[in-house]
Amino acid sequence: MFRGLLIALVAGACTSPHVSTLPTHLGPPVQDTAGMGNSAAVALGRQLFYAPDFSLDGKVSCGSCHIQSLAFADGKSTSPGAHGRPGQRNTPGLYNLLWKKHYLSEGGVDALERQVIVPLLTDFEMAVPPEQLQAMLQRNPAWVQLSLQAYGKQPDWEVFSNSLAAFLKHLVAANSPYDRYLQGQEQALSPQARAGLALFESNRLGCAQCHQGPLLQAEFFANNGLPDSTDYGRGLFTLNDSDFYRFPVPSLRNVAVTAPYMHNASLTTLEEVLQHYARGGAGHRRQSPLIKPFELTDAEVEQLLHFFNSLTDSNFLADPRWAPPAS
Amino acid sequence: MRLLVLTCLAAISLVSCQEDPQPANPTQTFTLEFAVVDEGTPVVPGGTFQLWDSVNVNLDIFRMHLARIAFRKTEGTWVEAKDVVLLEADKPQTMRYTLSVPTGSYNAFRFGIGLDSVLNASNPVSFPSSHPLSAAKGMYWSWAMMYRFILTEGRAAVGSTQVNYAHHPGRNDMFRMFTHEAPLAAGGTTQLQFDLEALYDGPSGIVHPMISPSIHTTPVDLADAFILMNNAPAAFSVVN
Repeated sequence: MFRGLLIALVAGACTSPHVSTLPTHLGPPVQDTAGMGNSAAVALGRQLFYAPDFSLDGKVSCGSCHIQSLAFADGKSTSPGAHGRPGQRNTPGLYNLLWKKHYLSEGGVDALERQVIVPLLTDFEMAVPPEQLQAMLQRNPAWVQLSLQAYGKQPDWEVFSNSLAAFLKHLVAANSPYDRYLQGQEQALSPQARAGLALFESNRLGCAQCHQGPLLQAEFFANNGLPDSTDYGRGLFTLNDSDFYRFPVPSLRNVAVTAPYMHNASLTTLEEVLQHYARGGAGHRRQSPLIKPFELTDAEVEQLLHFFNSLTDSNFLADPRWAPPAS
Repeated sequence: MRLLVLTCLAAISLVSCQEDPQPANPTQTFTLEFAVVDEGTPVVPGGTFQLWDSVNVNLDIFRMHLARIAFRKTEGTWVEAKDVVLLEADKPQTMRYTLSVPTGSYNAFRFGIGLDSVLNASNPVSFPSSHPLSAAKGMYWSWAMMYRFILTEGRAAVGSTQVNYAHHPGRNDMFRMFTHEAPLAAGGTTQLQFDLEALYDGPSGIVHPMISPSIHTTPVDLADAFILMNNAPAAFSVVN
């Protein structure tokens, strides 16, 4: 009993006011921030994120496919999972996850604590034998110690899920030139980037109809006119015909470092992305009516590229707090 | 203060001297024992069976959620005895359940095949690893926040042609009920069989594991997933 009490007290002591101050210009977070102040949980989540133990072949960690310098994308078309099993979609970046209502291309997961177990259990990703996870966690004395500090109990599925989510919630990218511009520093954007922003927000291009607000994302699902494929997107989850081939509108923050683009990685550069939309999409039969052709001069392409580059939060890409922990 | 302590001690001693009281709500048990079979012959993972006397099947895994197991009193009310179990054909301890209900006269039992919408919305990390809804059981579709109702995998072959199959039907509108009506003896055991051939060839149609080796309740295999779940109640039979 006294041991339990002691552990509870230690856990309480670790619920520190260490949580980063969240940027207000992004608006209130959608996800629960309650666990973010638990520094032991965040430390454990960071270790688990970079540990390859939880894959079928013991070689693939979350960090294998989510690389910090690439805004936690990985620069590949699709990422191989355990035993080299081919991935199915382009790896998304990980940042500002607190401001998302839905996760994954199907949008079938609505809480970060639930999202983190998806790659773990997916056959072509980490594919950990689920019955072994708890024992894997409890074999590592450092993880046991952090779990006891963070939650007052031995590590289990819940500890895994909550601590990993606590770590991911700290991945906030909100200090790009564009952010400083949004906060009143007009000169943070170059004249070229400001011209690009104006184009981005113009009715002529209509980019901001989907990439909305300071996060440059939307919580709806749309067909962006890529050629037909067998990926049902949102429809895979809802099974509703009207959702077939629709995908979530991603944030464009850090977009300059997250190539290749689109859920199927079919476009390799931002210039190609602009060309795709300027053509009015590839004419998918379910294409969003918001996608309409437009003309772009070379100078305007340059301006848009300057704007996209202004969305990169360089501090975030190099912040040592989110790097692999020292072994 | 001294008086208070003495009063407490007296109260404790009085309680200690009482005989164990009769339970306020006396109970009785029913045992349900399940077996996976092919036309009456038990099949376990690692074993083989034949479909339509022509398709040789090596069964690797068979798991199935049963939910809302309830018994009906003769006056008509249903009493739920267990919210959820997971039959795992390779683990005999998961194939037999002794369930308590209030003492009385009962004339039927029922259970759902799969999970109702409440259970299907459970958070798999909130359960201990031994719980039927734990993520550790491998039944959770993490990407869609719901569970597989049946998970069966193996290899099907005709002659030298062999196909790996994985059949994972399950979503809210596929929850099906099995009901058995018969007087039930208190303390008795009811043996049930789940016939694999009837799962693949039943009242709602046929699913051939070599023609439909991959069923994951997606748009491309939804019809087959429904056939399996619709056939499932008829695949159960009571053998005693």
